[in-house]
Amino acid sequence: MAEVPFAAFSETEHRARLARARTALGEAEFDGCIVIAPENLFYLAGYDSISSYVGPQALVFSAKGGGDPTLLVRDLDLPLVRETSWIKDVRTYHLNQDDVGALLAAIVQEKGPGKGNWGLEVNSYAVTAGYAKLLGDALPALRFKDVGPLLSRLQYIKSAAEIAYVREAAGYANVGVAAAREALRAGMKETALCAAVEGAVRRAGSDYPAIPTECASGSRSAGGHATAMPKIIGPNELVHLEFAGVARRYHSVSMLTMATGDPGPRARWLYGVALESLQKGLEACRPGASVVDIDNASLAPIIKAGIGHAAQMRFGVGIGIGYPPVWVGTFQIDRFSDGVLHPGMVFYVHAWLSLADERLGVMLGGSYLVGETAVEQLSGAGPVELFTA
Amino acid sequence: MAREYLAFGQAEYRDRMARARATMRENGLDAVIIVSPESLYYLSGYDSWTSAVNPQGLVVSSGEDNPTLLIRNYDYALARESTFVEDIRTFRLGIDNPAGMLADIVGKKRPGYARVGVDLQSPAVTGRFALDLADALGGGALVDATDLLGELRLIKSSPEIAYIRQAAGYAAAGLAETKRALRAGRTEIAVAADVEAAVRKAGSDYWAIPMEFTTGPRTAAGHGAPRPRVIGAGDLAHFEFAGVAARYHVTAMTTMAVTSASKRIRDLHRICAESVTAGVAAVKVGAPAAAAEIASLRPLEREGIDGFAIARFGYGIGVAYPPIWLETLQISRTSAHVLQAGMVFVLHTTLTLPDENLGFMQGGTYLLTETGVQMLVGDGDSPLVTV
Repeated sequence: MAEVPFAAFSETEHRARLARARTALGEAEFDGCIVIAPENLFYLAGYDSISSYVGPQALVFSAKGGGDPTLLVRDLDLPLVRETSWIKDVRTYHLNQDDVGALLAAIVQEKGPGKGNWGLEVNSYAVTAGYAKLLGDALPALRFKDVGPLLSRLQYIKSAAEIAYVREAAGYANVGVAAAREALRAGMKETALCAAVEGAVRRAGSDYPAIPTECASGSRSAGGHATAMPKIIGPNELVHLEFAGVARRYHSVSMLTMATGDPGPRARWLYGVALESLQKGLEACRPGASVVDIDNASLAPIIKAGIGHAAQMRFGVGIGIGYPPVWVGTFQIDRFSDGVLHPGMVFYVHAWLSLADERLGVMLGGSYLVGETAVEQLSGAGPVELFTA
Repeated sequence: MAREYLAFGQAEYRDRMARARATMRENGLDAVIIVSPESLYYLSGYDSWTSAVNPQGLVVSSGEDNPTLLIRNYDYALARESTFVEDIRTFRLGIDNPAGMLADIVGKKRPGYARVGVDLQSPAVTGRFALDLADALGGGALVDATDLLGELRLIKSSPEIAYIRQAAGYAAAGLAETKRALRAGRTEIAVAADVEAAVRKAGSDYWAIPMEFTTGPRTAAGHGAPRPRVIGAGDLAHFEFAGVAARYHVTAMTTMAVTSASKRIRDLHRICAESVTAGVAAVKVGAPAAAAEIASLRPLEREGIDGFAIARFGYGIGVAYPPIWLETLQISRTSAHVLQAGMVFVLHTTLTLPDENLGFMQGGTYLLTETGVQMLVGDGDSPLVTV
């Protein structure tokens, strides 16, 4: 058995990531960092677990010196560390008995300096208000500042090893698109359609997804973020799905809208607007393109159609490592941001139109990889004509 | 037609709201801002996982006025299909200030408020959102209401128990599938796919925690998700997963051996089952929750292996959303809770032996009634199954 049997990346790759993190922290005048969010624990330490939400855990390192990071986890989770992480200095605590704050304070003192600006992912779901308070009380000499965006930016451009996982994940996500088209028929429950898609994705080899399958049909189709309800999919209804394939926590998203028979002229018209929005947005996606131009290009057909109010969407979001409950990255493809597409970036885009008063919605999109000269579709139905079961 | 997916009748929600307000008054709270999705669902019916993506909140004052729900505009259709709340307001992500809007709503309902509760221990309340709320409310008004809100949900009504039994049926379908799917030569992910599909095809809603399933040397891991590991003859395996009906979770678990079990595995499994028997026997209406864990440890102490039992014996379970399903009821030696009729909880003995690359998990989900405790689903204290 290898020393770390389920390590997703080499220790060399992790050390290079850590070095980039330390450089970025130093430039931003951080003295050290306490990493808690599971996606960042996985990126830097290789530690792969769902446990961030069950008990506190943390990776501690200084921006300059202080040696390799130290990982603190619950004793129950030590075997998960040993099977995935290159970190050697791993300490454990017993839930509800040991003082996690005191343990972390001691580790920070060892790493030094025990004062100054320290990074904390204050917008992460793993850093609850309660955990943030525990850290503030245990480490009163530290000034905690949000380090989430800095750590996320390190992950925008994927390495070759990461892209291999992204392509594997995309394969699983495309199996789900085929399964959805195969399974859909009027008279089935929304949950049954989800079961067929999830079963196919998982049987293909996917890791668990960070967000439940989104599914809404007919009168529910205007619902964004809607999960399946105990509703029967009727004849001549629109049905949209959003789900991911996952390889070693790298997510690739598929979206599609289908119909059971003819959903009627208004629905077909709305689908046409969404299709044109996706096409125009994708045409604007190329290396060097600004996210503002892309979002505006995707919005133009919607505004021309006179339904600007139906687009509550941002066109795209960066994606990569994800753990429940989210897979959304900090890279935004919208008109309020200032990013530029670079080769090696992975993102998902969607044309999402919701007419709440008419109880009608269409969602189209998928995941894309920015290459040296063009953008490549990885998963999802993409810009296609309406599929009818 | 609105509210077509409201899970309960109006009387149930009126009772819940009355109990919430009574506890707010007892605890001197002028209002609460409920953010965690499980409490949003419990008190308003609003059924969405999107607390994970953006802030949202239900404002309830200690008076008799109607509650107000603030959500992102994107989620309006979800609210309309699932909540009885009529005063629904929306914000635009990245443009409006939801913390400020929530504070304004509190101020309109309760001018001069002094103490406002928020479920601060929820993953939905990030450190940043808590600071934003504290600033927007001002005057040190923000207080933690996690336990106060969580305790409301511990005793289940009969309509809730009906959903819980439905969820137990979905989990049982998965448990039956584990015995068919677990085979040497397959990968953990392939087996997990079959079990998950059985649960979902039976009708289950999505679950809050991914399936935990480990085999062979990986069994020593608590919280281990399946990997592309090929299962071998002689491996131990354990599963933990939930069936879900109307967001009510019921957890199934089992430990099994593949092809054959060594004497060491059989001995440890037998002691693990004895621990479950002893712990469950201490579960009675009016008994301290701590007594159950203490009783569950006795058989382990007798064999000198109590040091391997590093997880708590049990916890309350009910409404849940990703990423967790634990309620505030703790069944551990440090718990101050008293067990009462209508409580639903997971009871399990876990043994973790990293030095031997072995781990066990036995138990299930149980319902306590006036007439005693009954297992809803799980393997309880049954003997080791070899497949």
